Amino acid sequence: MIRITLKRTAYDLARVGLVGVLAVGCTGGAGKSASAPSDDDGTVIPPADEIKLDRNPSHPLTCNDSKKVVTGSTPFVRLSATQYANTLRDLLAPLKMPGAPLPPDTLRPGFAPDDAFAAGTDVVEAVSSQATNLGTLVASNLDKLGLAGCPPANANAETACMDGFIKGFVTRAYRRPPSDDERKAIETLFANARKSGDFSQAIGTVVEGVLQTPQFLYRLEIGGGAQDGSAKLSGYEMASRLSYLLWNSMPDAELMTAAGEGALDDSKGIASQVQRMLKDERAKQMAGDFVDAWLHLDLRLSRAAGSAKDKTAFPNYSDAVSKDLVSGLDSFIEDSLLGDKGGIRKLLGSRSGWVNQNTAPIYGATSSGSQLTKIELNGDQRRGLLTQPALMAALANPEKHAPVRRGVLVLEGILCQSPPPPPNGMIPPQPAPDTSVKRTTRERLIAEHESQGGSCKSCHEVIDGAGFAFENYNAIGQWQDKEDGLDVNSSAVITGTYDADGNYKNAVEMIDRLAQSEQVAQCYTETFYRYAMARELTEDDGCNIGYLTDRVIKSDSDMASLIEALTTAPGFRYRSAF
Amino acid sequence: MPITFNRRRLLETFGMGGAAYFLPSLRPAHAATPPQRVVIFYSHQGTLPWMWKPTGTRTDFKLGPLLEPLEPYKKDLILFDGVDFKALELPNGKGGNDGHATTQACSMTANVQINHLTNDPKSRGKGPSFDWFLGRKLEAANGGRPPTPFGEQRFRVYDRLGDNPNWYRPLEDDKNQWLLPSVDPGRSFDTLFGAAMQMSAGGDTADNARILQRKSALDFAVGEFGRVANKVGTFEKQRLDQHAELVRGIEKQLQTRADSAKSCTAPPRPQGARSAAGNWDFSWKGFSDLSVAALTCDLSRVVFIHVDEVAPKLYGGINSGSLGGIDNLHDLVHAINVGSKDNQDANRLKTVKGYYGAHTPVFKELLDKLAAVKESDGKRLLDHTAVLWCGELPQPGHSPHNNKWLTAGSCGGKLKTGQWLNYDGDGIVFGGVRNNVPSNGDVFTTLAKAMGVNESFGAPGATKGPISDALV
Repeated sequence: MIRITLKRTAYDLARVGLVGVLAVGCTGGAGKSASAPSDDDGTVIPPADEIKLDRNPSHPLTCNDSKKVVTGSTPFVRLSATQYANTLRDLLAPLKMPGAPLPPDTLRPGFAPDDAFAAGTDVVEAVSSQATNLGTLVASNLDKLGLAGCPPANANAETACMDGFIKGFVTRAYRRPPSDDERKAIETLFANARKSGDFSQAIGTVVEGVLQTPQFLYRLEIGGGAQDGSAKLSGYEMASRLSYLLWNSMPDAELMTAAGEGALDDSKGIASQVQRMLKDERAKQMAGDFVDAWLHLDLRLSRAAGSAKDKTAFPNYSDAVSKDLVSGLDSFIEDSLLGDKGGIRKLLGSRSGWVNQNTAPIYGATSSGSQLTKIELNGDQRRGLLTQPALMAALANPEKHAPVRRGVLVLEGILCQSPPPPPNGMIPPQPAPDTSVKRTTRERLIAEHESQGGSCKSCHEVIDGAGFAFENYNAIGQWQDKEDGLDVNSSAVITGTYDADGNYKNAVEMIDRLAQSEQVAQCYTETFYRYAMARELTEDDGCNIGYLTDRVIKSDSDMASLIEALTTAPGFRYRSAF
Repeated sequence: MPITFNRRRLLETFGMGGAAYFLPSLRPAHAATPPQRVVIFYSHQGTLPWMWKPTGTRTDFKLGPLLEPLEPYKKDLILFDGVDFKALELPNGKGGNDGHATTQACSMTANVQINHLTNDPKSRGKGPSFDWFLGRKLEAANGGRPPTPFGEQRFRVYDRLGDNPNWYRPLEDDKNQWLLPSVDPGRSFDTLFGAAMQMSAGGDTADNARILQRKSALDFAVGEFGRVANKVGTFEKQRLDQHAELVRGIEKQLQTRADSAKSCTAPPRPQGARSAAGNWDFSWKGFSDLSVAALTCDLSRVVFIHVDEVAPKLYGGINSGSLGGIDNLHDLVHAINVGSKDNQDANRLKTVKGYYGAHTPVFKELLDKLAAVKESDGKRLLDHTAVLWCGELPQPGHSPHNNKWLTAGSCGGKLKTGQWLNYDGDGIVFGGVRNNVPSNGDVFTTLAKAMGVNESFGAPGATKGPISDALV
């Protein structure tokens, strides 16, 4: 079986980081699949010949048997730093978590090799240190956690409190009721600690232990009823898949109850919970987290910082301004993906912006006050995510915009089209710049790539062709008609795509086309699929991606519809059998 | 015998400038002979060979312009002028792509490149890396227990925001699992010096009770890892076992950590925070101070400091306007003529020189800190340490040959310092095989020998053994 890599790695990041990462590659692997289980009533994937597979010429999807349940490698995923912090927040409420969270994660499952997520020394040390602190915190605040029978009024009541602690705290920490053996181990730990300390110290020791277990730190999925290589997730395991996908945190009480009652064993129950969860405030974080993972925004945005820009060229562009631009970007992403009719079309095609007095001059808008307010932007100049000033500023240098980075984002991020990596081996010295002629950034790049010839020139024609659409946005994302007194030319060309090829007069025209593109819809679907599955993809995932793309296109790109279809599909409800 | 717990006697002078580093040893008084240590300083993009190269003879030489700031330490240095990544010359040496990825994969492993998983950046060598190897050998020599409260320390001075991007991950264990360095000095401080802060204030009895409590919690966690690992497949089991092993490591070290907390004085916690505006000051100062403190207190004997691109302010940054539109260091170093100082664009060369040159004062600052600590035998901490400066490339071209590496410090008198070992007969070499020159595996094996480990490190066939010229 061929395992296909559908990874999209930011080409320009790789360039800066120097390790060129190929976007597509095939090696032998062991993706697992199985026959469709008989008890499943979830999303039904149509026959293979009804699924459109050719929406991306640079990597057509493969679908041989759409009835297979594709589970891929399904590795255990450790809670990310964000998930760890969110989980502790929800687990310990109303107590506040003291101390620092885990080291931040740049990589996300699904966007890097599965084995990139092993816990390192710093993670294990930080978890251990935090567990010790939290043990003390819980022990001294047992009365505030609403645990049945706790704190005990006297020695005789300790057993009842311990029982309440296991049911109320450990069950939530493990995201399922502990097994009999697990319960015994906890009781033994408590009993031993109680011999040398008082009740509250012993509870503290149990908390310290529980918060270092794999049951707490990993999203353990064992599944049951293994058949033909796949095993169905239990209701509690589904609850965790849903909550960590949609909230980046542990399941809430309602989800746990639904799991316990078997309501997550069928697609109606799952869909009902998904609809509820998407309305929750916590889902907003998912939108931003997904786009960060997709487009590497978390790394890229550091280039948009006020302090990263040239002070002479942009004297008013401070860290405060860039912070507001990024907050505006976050609000925009949340609204575009999870607001009314949210999805890829709105993300690319929206004319809204979240603006305040600091950022209005950059948007070319007017606004007063420090509060970010949603406004309609100038439709001739702005269109959706790609012209957000924070993103444009991130895809720029301190003084000048960077067409290559912008082009790579469009090709690789939005179209999932693989620009070739920079040439390997010896890179020939580049010619010295000709400073005798005044040129725009575009003219300078064309001249430079022209003089380099060969593979540099041919590749850059493709990359720059898309990137030049954004010539109207300077290094802080502000509109410019002229650059250094010279007229700006923002005409652009896209080639090699399924349905977005064309000559465009500017970014707005190009984005309007991209927003309607089926290749873009597939790219977005595939990327969200990767995010949701949190694992390396296999060739067999092609059926699901192709079908879900159909759904996205038919539903006018509605994200809630995509999430519902994805979470009720067998691939989301099963794991590969051990 | 109970020792009175001396809580956080902060060293007010620590970190306040060069003179402040003339400190007495902070290690337990019972250790009469200071231990030997290894520090690895890992930088990117190679160097400019013609500006790195000394002139003169093996023992009477003048440092090249890029290394001039190290003049005060000339007698402490061994210049390994022309080390080859010989594992990459083996029949199966290169597993995938070329360039920085391949040389990075071999740089710390001295082994062949492998393609570990499908969408891997193909940048891994066959593990382990030298830091891990040395850590395990020191453990083995100590009866299977780490000789210090903490194992190897891995730090990454990362000026940008974000965490351990998937390029430049040269460290691995023996199962080719990445070993990710800490990017936050504050967090690393908490790990190294936090044990004391978690001790109770009630004296030894309470401390001992606390240690027992922590031990039982960790025991329990390890048991749960075993319980889960028994139910799952190989991949998951391996991951869980690796995690459990780290938990077990903490458990084993609880007592020694508690003891060290009583006998060693912690420096102040690194001040500052990581930010998008750049982390250099916080990160470099934090990690270099922490490295010296950890070695001084004998909390660890192996420290790896990964210096990503030095802060732009140290060399003026990349001014794309004057560099023909080049906006990052990678493209810039590749845009110069690596073979000669002639035929260069002046602005580009100036910036590249500035970039390479900016590393030397940074490295010197580390040596200053190590030299400022006087140990129980009256010698400098630097004298008991081997500080290796290495990286993934010899120069801006993608070559595995003729790397310019150096060490400072004699590692307890085991290294023959004050030498320029010139293996650079042919100048810059991009291809082919050079005979009679050492490999990076040979350099690592030399350091291992200096540390008392008589084992060869690196791919068989690519490591000949310790470099006798470098050893006393």
